[in-house]
Parts: sequence; C-alpha cells; structure tokens
Amino acid sequence: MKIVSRRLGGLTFVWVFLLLACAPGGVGDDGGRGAAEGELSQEGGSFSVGTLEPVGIEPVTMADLYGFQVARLLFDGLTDLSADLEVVPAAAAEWEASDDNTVFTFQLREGIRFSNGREVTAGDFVYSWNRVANPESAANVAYHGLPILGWGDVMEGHSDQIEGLRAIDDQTLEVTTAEPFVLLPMVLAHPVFSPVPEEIFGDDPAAFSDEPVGNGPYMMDGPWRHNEGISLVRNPEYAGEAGNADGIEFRSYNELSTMFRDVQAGNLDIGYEAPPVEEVQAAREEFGDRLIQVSSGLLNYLGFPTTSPPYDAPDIRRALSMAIDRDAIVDSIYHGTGIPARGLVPPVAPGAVEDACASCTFDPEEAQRLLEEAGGIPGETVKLYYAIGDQALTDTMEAIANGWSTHLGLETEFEVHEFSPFVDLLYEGIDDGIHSIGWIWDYPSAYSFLSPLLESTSGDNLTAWSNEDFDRALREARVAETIEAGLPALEEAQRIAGEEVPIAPFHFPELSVVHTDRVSEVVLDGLGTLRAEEVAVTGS
Amino acid sequence: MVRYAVVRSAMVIPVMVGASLLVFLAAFALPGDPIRALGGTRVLPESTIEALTARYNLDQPLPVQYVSYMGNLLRGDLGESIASRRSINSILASSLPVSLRLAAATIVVETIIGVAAGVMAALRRKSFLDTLVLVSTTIAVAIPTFVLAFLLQYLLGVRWRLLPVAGLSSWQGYLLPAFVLAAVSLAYVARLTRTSLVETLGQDYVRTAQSKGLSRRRILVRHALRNALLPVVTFIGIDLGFLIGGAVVVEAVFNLDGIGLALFRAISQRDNLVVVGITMVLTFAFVMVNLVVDLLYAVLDPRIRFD
Repeated sequence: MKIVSRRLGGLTFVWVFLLLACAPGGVGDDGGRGAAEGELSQEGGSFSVGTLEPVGIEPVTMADLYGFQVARLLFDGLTDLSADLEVVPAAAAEWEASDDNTVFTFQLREGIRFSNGREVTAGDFVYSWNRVANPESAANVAYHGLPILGWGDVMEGHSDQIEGLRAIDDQTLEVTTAEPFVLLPMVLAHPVFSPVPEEIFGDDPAAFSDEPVGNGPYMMDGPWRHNEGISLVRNPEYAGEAGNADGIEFRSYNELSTMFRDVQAGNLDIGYEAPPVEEVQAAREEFGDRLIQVSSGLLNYLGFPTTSPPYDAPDIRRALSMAIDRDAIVDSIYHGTGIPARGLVPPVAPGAVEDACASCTFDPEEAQRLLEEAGGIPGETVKLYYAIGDQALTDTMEAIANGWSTHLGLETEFEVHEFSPFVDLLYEGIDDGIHSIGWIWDYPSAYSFLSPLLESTSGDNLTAWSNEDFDRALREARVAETIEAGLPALEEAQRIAGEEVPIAPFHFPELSVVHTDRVSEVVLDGLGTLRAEEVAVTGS
Repeated sequence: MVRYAVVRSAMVIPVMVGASLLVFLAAFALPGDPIRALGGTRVLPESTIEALTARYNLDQPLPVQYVSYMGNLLRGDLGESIASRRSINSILASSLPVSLRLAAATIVVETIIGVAAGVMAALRRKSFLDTLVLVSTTIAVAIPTFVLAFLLQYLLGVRWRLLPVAGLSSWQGYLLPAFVLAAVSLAYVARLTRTSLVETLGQDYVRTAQSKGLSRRRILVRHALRNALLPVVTFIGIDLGFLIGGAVVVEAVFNLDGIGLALFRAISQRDNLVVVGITMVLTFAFVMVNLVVDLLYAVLDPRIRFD
C-alpha cells in the first residue's frame, strides 16, 4: 500500500510538469508515418506537410488556418488569391460589378467539374452558400458572408434563401450586397464560399466532413484519418492548372517541437509552423534558406477600454503605448521573428501605412510627460488581461509591464485566464483594464483589420471606440470604384486610428516553415498560405 | 456465492450513475463557454452562437441535459464533440486502442527491465551492481517525464536516427514512448523485486531447497521468484490503470492519438461531453476491474462470500 501512495505522489509531480510542458503547444496527433510515400510514385511524386490537427476541411466545418490549407486544394471558389495577394479568377472566368458596387455578376468557366465528374453550375454555389448560412449547419465561419444581402437573415432563421444570391443560368451567378462593397470578390476567395455537390453532401453531412468532394486541383484519397493525417491526390477532373505533385499528405501534430524534430530527422518534408519560437535561431543555422518566415497576417495588440477613465484620455493611451520597447520584445523574446508594430495593419497588406501610429515608437521621456500632463492613472496601477498562451506571450506581457514600471512608475496587475474564460470576459466587456489579444485577417486588405476591430458598428470592436471620421473613411473605401481607388481612404483610416490609439499594436508575428531538401518551390503568401500546388518534389 | 456475486455486480449500477453525475456536474461547473471559444478571439454572431448552443442541447437546463445524455449513453451514443464535431464514439474508437497498446508495451518494458535489475541487485546485495541499480533508478524517478522524452527523442530520433521521432506506424515506434513511460515505474518494480526477493531468499523453504542440493538457478526461478513476484504483479496491475489515462505528456511529445491527450485537450477546450465520455469509459474500466478482483477474492476466500 505504501507503493500506491508513492506512486500517486509521482503522478502529481508528473501532472505539474505536464501543465508546464503542454502549455505552449497546440493539440492535434499521430504522425511519423511514411504511409503515402512510395504509393504515388509517378512523375510528380508526393510530399508530406505537418500541421496541427484542423477542425474542419470543408466550408461548413472549417475554422482554422490548418483546415484552410487543405480546403483550398480541395475546392475552387469563384475567385482566388495569387501569391502576391491579387484577386484572380478561379471557378469564375470573369465578373463585373454594377456602378455602385452592389451587384456582382460572375461568369463561370466552361467545363469545371467536381471530382465525381459532374459539372459545376451556378446553382451549386446557391446551394452551398445557403447551406453555410443555414443555422442548422451552425458553420463556425458563416460570418464571412454577412456583406451579402439577406445572408444574415438566413443565419438568424428569418429566411431560408439568401436574398442577394441568384443563379441566372447554369453559368451565371449574381451576388447582391447589402451595401456597396468593392472588396466582395476578394472576400469570396475564402474557401467557405466553395461549391459542394448536393447529391453527395445531402446524403450524409458527417461523412462529407470527413471525405469532402470538391472541384479543386486535389481530391481526398480516402477519408480523413483524424489526429493522424489527410491524404490528397490529383483530381483527374480538374480543368485548371494542375498541381506539381501527384500526392500531398497532411499530417497532424500535437506539438510544434515534435513536428520540427520530424523535419530534422527527414521523416517530414514541410513543417508548417515549425520550428517553435524558441528554436528559430537553431533552425536558421541548420536550415538556412529552407527556413521560410512570412507574415501570417496576425496582429498582436493591447486594447484600451476607450470609454472608461482613465483610458478615455488619448494621452494616457499614447503614454502607455510609448513606454513599450517593441524592438527589444521582438529581438529578445521572439528572436527576431516578426516585425515590431508601428502601424495598425501588417506591412504586407496593400495600402499599409507602416508608421501610422506615432506613439508606437519607444520614447520613455515623452511617455512620462504625456502621462503627467494627462493627470496620471489613479492608484498608479493598471490591470492587464490576457489568456494563457505560450512562454513568449508571458514574457512579452512581463516586458510590457516592466516598461510601464520603469518608465512610468506604474504597477501592473495581471489578470491571466484560461482561453475559454478569457473569451467570456471579452463578450462581457473588459472596462477596468487593458486587454492583450491578437487578430488575424480574413482577406488581404487593411479593411479586414480596420472594420472589425475599430468601426463603431462592429461586434468585434472590444474597445468601444467610435470615431466619425474613421467610420466615414471606411465607408469611402467600401464604395470606391475599385479596390485600389479605396486605398487612400483606408490609409486615412489608419492615420486616424494611429493618432487616437484605441489599440496599441505591438507585434506582427511571422509564421515559420522549414522544409527538407527533398522538396523545392516552397512558397507562402502574405496570408500565411502554403501554396502546396506549387511545391515540387526533387529528391527521392 | 451466487447471491454475493449478484449483489456485488448490481452495485456497479449505482456507482456508475453516481460517477456520471459527479463528472457531468464537474465538467459543466468549469468556467468558460465552449461555444464562444470556438470563434477564438473573434466575437461570433449571436445567430451562430444560438445555433450551436441548440445543436449541443446547451440551451436546456442542466438536469434535462443530464437525463438526455444518460438516455443516449444507454443506447451507446456518447454524443458529439463541440470542438471537432466528431462523434465521441469515434474519438474513443481511435484513441483508446492507441492508449491500450502503449500501456501494454510500457508494462512489458518495465517488467523486463525492472525485474531483471531487481533480481540482479538482490542476488548481489551490497555489491557495485546493487548500488548501480539503486542510483540509476533514483535518477530515473527524478528526471521529469517530458525532459526524458524530449532528450531521447532528439538523441535517438534526430541525432542518431535510430528510432522514429513520432508515431506508432512500426513496432520501433513503441520503444521510445514505452521506455519513457516505464522509466518511473520500472524503478519501483526493480526495488520491489529486490526487497521481496531478498526476503524470500531468507525463507525456510528456500533453505530447505538448498539443503536438498537443488541448483541455485532452479531455486531462484522455480521457488523464490514465483513467490517474490506477487507484490510486483499487484503493483503492475495498478500501474496499468494509471498508464491508460495518464500518459498525456508522452502522447503529446511522441504525437500519439491517445486517450489521455484527448481528455486533456477536451478539458482545455471545455468540450464537456468529451470529458464526460472519456471519464465514464475510464471509470467503467476501473469499476469492472475491481468487480472482477472482488469476485475472485470471494472465490478464494469463503469468509467474504458468507459475510
């Protein structure tokens, strides 16, 4: 019996370490298999990509960056994004917008087929989009369609057909937006707007989620092996430009470090999001130009409750922002990965104003002066809310608090929560302190940051900031004749928000990807998307 | 005996119902909304939250949710995961076998190495070998599991490329995770074997066997070890229970789709029905093992069945 109690003691000990060990990683599983290798040994060869386990890989269930990588190979929406983030035709050969940018008419390409051989029609898009918006599907990312007229009514159960969606004939689809929205073709490049074949989905939605049938360059080679992997092969029915490799094997990992080890050992060709931050330096030496670091379209920032004192005073917000040494954080905590943020949108975004936020430059004296002039902060204490993340996040929060303490003489009270309770706090509203949080764009436009985060009508505006000039600038960007014509308005919006600092951006993180010398042409775009169709298998 | 067996078996029902209620309440008492968390830091539209809440019955009062859950459970349906939308039955079907196989491999490793080390130490008491076993097992217990896991994974998997870094696709894949998991327990097995064997070797019947002129080897294997290993077997049995659900670190590091990791993931995502489902299956296994043990005791010891 003594042994049992000792054993229990040991277990507690292990549990404590477990919490420490598991904190930084994500969750997902099994890998290390060479299953698909060799099976597809035609000329194009096959390669493997490691990711965390996706939530879903088809329009209704997809939710994360990992599922996105797979879904974009299985499906072709109306439009797509090129490697330099331009909107390009995909299933639609061409489209035109009405003068006021509310009615968009898409002409489908001739002869595009699902991998089961059936031709894709405009009606398939109508069916698929309605399915995503339908509350019974409860699609996680259904909000993407909200700019379309009547989409929200379907989501709320007031209607069972999206009003602004009409198949004029088999080849022509007409999409009407609720208000002028020049960015619509860019929004539609997201795989959530992919067509799915009703005859297959309708029979068994759950089976479809595990083995979706689409119209993309690749198709499923057997159902998704959860927590293990997803095998794709070339879609023989695909009429567009075929991918380079014959087969792509996505493998699910729990831990980024394990994924990195598998690339180091040569068992895995591409590690998506490997190495973890702590090992970036070592990876640079070992992998050289086979370590790729690109913007992930992520922004990390501090949000202020702009309607509660003392944070309602712009000078207080500026002072707090100026006392943060962003360069030091990126250099020492992130080992030079990512960019210190001095604007509101990642520099890779078209129309990004890189120095829009003047008070995002480290200037302790000026910070102190501003704080004193604004009357200081009552109690000389600020509350900082964040969700438990990886070690780098904790270190960053401590570095920020150190800056406030050293340069402004302010104490920081940390409010650290597990992720899920933290999200609850966001819904309820945090008005007695500052929150640290990240935002990732849905499509490559500054608009995808500015509108959700700071427009006064947005549900994601957690700062309660409201500025008429800013709202007007965004409206101008929406109704502009072309995306380019809207850029000056978006630049103006960035300057307004940069001046008022309702949010203090501090870091644009980058995504790290390593690959073995078995593969080449490994390219990632500014959305952090692996352009897997372009990867070439060169080694054996 | 039959009456005892029936009464003892029937006790499983209230135990399971009680356990399910406790686990259910505990899971749902955790702060944090599983639906809202699905959107990450993005605020989901009210309509999406409502649709998802209805899909998982979360709009019902807790007692109603519990009753409908138990109803489905009796039909063998454990429900659907909120975070992954997979059926919980299929989550268990894929991860339970992984955990069972890993636990079995671990038991093999800890038995072979632990018993061998214990026997050697017992036979050469106070020798260098004995001290070596003592010191090395102390070190094995002292090293945190994740340190050993990362270290061996790097050395054997990456540096020398002798074993797979992750996964269980070949039998070699079991070696590292099983050894890391066994490291702590095999220290206990070794010491338990040593102590027990030393005690047994001093027994009268062993000396009798010696005086009859039996070979040292025959005494050890046929007489002493069989008796000395009884407490070791008991320990390994208990360890098996811990191994099935408690191998979270090793499952994470070696990328194994095991039940411990599935449970850990479900707790952090507030995927309550998955938490309840996995815990119920583990509880059921534990209760059944106890039932079998109790019935066996009754067979062996008449006093129990007549009380």
